[in-house]
Amino acid sequence: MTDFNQLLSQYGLIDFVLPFLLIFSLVFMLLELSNLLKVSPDDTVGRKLSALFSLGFALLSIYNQDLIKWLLSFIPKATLVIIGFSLLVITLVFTNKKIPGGLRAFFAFLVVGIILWLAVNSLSISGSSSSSSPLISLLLYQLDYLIQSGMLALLVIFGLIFLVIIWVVGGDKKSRSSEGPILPRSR
Amino acid sequence: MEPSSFIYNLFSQYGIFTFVAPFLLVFSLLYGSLRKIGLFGKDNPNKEKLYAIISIVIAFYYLYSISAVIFTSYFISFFFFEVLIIFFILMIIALMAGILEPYKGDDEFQKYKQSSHNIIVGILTLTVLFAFLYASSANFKEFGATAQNIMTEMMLALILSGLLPYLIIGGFIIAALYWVYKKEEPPKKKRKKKYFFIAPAEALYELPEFTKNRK
Repeated sequence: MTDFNQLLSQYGLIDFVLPFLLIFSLVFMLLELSNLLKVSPDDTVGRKLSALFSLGFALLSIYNQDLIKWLLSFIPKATLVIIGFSLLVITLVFTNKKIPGGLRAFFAFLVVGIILWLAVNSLSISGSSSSSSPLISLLLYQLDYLIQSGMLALLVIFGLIFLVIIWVVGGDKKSRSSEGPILPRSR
Repeated sequence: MEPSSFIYNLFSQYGIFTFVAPFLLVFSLLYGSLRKIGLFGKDNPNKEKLYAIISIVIAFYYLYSISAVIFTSYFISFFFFEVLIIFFILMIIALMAGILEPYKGDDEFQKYKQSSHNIIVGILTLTVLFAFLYASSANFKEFGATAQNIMTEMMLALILSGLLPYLIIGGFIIAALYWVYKKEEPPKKKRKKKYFFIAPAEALYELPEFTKNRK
């Protein structure tokens, strides 16, 4: 089994053919959906141009070998998540669709959370060779710069002052509403 | 994992990644865009040839800068990864949407859902910015380094010119004035807190429906 995998890797199935097919098909589908390069929906030249663009996009993406590492790390786990949620859907068939709105919302956020977590994990585990995650390092650099220049402190101080003013001045609204209705009094 | 396959090495050797692929990408994008916007009129008989020549020339100029090509490679690869993440999310959400009954709220709920949809669209557009940040933060010469410094340079220019403190203070003053002079609104009904949780989720469930109904 290992020899077979090695053979496939040797002939570029893992680091060329599979990513190429995935990128090409997804980008072509998006272009067809958005009609970006088409003059009309039946424009054959536009379709060919979309195919050429997807071809160039796929080849140029594969040139960055980090993408291959991300895909190898991310796709198997994400597929596992799909299988898990499919099983969940199968079990939910018994409930006759009477699922409360809160639970439905919880599932949506769960899906987004899990997928994003897997993606961030894939990026940090198999990031570029220069650092673990270049995006995070850049954001940290910007934050460090804001702190060093004193701008962050200025922002925080002004924000705090503003919040205090709102809290002090806007406080009577609540008490006014808690007073209740004005009742006529007898003298 | 280093690229060790025969096909990858062969393509690298013959300049498929650094010449053919970027040329195809830029040429098709420019040619298609020029055709679509119809810059040279609809009745011009030579317009297609002119579009082709302009696209080829610009594409070759682009290929002249190898750092720009490498930057593009990083930019679009990260962008594709983000598209793949969205694709997986939408796939699972569409799977769940088919089996669970949607929440039908009142008019206020619909407003919340619309706002949530707008926020989701805003977040989706940020993917391009993230891809740009990633590409600029990777270790490059020339183009990447320049792009990496754009935000820092902007911040530095604002600080050195003394504009930033004025901007911050001005922003707070405008906010305070707006708060003081804004019209008194009639008392609103008590907001339903559960809408903050359910409305964004319902907007998420609707996203695959939009793509499904698109022609």
